Amino acid sequence: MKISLSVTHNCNLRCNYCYTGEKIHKNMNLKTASEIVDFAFEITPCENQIDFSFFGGEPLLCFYLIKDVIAYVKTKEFSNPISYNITTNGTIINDEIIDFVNQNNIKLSISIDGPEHIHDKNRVDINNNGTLKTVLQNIKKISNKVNFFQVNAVYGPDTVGELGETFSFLIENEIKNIHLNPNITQNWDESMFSKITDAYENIAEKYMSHYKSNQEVALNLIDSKLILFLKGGYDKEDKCGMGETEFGFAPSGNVYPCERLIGDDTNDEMCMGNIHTGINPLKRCSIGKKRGNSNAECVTCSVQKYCMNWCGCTNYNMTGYSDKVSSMLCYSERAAITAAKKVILELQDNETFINHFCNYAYDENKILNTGVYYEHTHRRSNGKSMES
Amino acid sequence: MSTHIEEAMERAWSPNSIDRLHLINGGWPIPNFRIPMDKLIAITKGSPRIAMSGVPKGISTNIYLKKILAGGIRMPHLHMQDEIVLFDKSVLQEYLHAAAEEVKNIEDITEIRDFIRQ
Repeated sequence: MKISLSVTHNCNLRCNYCYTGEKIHKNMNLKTASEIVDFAFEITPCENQIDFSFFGGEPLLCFYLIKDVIAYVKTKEFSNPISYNITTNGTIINDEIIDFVNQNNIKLSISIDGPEHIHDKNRVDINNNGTLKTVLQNIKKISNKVNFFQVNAVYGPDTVGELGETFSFLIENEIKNIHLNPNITQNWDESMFSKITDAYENIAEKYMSHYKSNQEVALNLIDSKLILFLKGGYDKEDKCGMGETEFGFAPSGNVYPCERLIGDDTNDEMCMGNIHTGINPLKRCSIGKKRGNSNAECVTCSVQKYCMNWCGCTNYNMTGYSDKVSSMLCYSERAAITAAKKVILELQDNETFINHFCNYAYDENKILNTGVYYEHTHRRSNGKSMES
Repeated sequence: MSTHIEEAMERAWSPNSIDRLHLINGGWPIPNFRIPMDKLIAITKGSPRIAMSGVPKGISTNIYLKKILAGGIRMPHLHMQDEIVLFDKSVLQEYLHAAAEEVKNIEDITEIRDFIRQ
């Protein structure tokens, strides 16, 4: 069960591509958060994992609330495995936060888009100043202190051509667990598509070059597809559980099927109810029915089983329908599969590459490929239908 | 499953094996074979750290760490029907070869005109 708490609409940055709406000083209160925790335990079968993700705005502006929520979780009697994640812009990290993150095995996801001319183009503070320097300093501060962190680099039509440069920059800064994510709220003009294939090919070359130099790196773009090659494609249980095994909660307590659909909490089409007043079962059902992919073209596609065409929030943000795939996603997935294919053919006998899949990253291992492991296991929580 | 494998499993997964689940760095033995669900449940029953649960309709199997601690299943594994396949390095390499052989047949799609959605 994935429970995302958007603990605040507030943020200390003003990223140009932000999809979470106006930055207002509206925070979740502890009563709302506690009810969400109660809800999570009520709807999750015993023994099934619950992932609590803290999201925003900038969630670390409400660090006090995150501490209170986790303290509340610990008061509950449960047998479910629990994990915690915080998605942060990386500008507000201090020793107290680092200690707390370690004590509670929280996974940090830090946003950094690349070198200065890429990162600072979009990720600016309220005075329109770039934030790379601060984020990089904080990443260096935590890199030997926290158990797990990954970076998320967002690329859009304006920066996809520089994706290889971003990857190299992150590696140069000793960041070894990298997630590259396309901006799904921007308009991707078709003229950009050839840049996507070029960029992914370039990244695959760099990835292979690292392994040939016996350097391990975890990269979602390639690793997730390699895992799928090994598995033979996505399982039913891997796919989007929006509205059934995934819920996103706005600071008001409003419930959405995914945290990426909360925005500024005004999306009536996707809002399923409120934690204080209940969830509308018909609304939840109608959203659930539209999970997946209804595109006739995809049925005959040779790489369908490796394609992430089922991601409801990606589809919704790109096409306005949770079950309609955008042309950008089609191009991107095919390019990623082609790039990953090249990698597996080239590296199948490479010792470091094989170790990459053999070693698991835990406390003592800073070469992080937990993301790879996590990718194909953590979504296997199996929630039963929820009562309204 | 052959008698040979069954014997190997008995040796690797005796009731005393539970102790091996709780080593600081994770201590699962390294079998090269599939482990039936009932065997895994028997072994992990009562474990403070690891829980197993079946998924309805035989889609897959869940295995969890009850707490996020160092250790657990440190080996790559795949969920296949109601079984988990744990890999050691040589088995993983075989899987990589097999997967590479399969994906070699996927047609490269790099030309924009060849994409489905235009």
